[in-house]
Amino acid sequence: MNPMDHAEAHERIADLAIEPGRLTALAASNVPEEEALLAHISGCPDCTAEIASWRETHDALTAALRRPAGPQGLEPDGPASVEPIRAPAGLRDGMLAAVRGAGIAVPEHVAVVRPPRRLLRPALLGMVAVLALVIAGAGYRLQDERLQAARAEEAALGTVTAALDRVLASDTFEVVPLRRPDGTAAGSISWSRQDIVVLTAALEPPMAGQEYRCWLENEGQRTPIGRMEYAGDVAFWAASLDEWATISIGPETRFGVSLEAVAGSGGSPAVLDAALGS
Amino acid sequence: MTVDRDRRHDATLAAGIAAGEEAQFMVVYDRHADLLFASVVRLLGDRDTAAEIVQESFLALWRRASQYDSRAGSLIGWLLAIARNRAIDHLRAQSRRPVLTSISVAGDANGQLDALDVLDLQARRVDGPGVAPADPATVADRRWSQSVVRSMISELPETERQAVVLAYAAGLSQAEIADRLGWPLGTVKSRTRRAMAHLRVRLAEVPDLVDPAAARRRDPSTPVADRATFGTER
Repeated sequence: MNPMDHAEAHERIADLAIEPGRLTALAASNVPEEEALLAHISGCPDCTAEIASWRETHDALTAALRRPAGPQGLEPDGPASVEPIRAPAGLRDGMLAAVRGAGIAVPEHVAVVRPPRRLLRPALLGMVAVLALVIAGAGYRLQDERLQAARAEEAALGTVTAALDRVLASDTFEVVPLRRPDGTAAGSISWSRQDIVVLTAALEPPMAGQEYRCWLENEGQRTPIGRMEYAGDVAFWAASLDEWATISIGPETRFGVSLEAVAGSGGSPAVLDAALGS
Repeated sequence: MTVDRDRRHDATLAAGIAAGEEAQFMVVYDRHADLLFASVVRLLGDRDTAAEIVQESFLALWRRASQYDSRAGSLIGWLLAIARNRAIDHLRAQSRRPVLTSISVAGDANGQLDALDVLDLQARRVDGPGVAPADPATVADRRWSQSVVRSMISELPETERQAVVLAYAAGLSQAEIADRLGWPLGTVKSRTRRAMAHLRVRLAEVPDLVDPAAARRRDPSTPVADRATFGTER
């Protein structure tokens, strides 16, 4: 059996990928050329990843196109229908009109703050009110830029207040302390099925060119999920279900915040973290 | 297949949208609306509701573009996640009231089935008799994945689509496809190869559809503690 080089292996993998099931059956193959491919793969992480990627494609297509065991016609669409379906032409105009009606990108949940019902909420609402008064009182003497920054902080605090309000008003929610590396408590992370809110007053504002990034860690793998924002001395991050919909939390999942260079790839030690599954 | 002449990356466009750039928003709309709409129509079988959900999903993008972080995933993955949640919410709302159906199998006391029952029945037909029924959330997730993947296949040029469907839905070999369609074998292979390469890239943009770990966490046979505690379902 002649050894197979990398380019040849990739070519062969792509050939096998066009026949459903060929890659899956590869491990049991006794075709000499495929045995040579297997020998190459066993020492090549790149080709192993390539095969895994093709298998995922294969599995997704198989799951999407397999026919039901029973009679046809069960679904209105037909089980294997892959005819193009285009969005209606009128929807585009409607979309444009809706966007113009919606105005500029303002977080939509600012307007849905409900009356406070728990201790934490009055405190946060108070912070919003104080900030609004400061802005109103200082309107004449603040420069435009400072006024805009203060208004942005007010809007941001409104957003986080509304998110926390929704969390605390939900039937089931969790609150876990954020901790510094020395184990001392330094804020909280609260979540329901719809929202997640991270709040801390323990982070010094980052220097220029740096930012605090939030991430989830599973089995040593970090997934970036956002960056901390500031309103006064309070650092926060809030997200709603729509942003979280593709992220899953397991019993070992850890939430963390690290200080990173804005253009950096991440990986700095956590300055705050929380075990979400505990 | 829609021709998209604007080469700007979605992340660049999202930044523009966050700044209120309508034109950039419409580029993103034109790029992704068909996939979103087709996926929701395939799940719900209702074009009017699908149009509403697509509009709501893009409005959510318009309002929250500043929260989009390209390091956390693709923009189309984000939009599909929003549409999926809204579509499944719609199914849940439907499931709280009986719907008329032409399926002549046992339903509730009145012989009627709700929307999630219909999905469950479809899944059992696919899985085959004797397979334990999955919970409605798993069924809905599976059907959503099928709807998105079929919609991605529907984006292919017709000849490539034919080759993929005959290989995966009809289980034909490349030689059998060549025979069936009267194409040279090399043509079948090159068309299938192009199609597979396109689909592989498309699927990689929505890793939740093909991520076995994510799928496992949603699997009802996985212990509850291993499943998502928030974010994957309402």
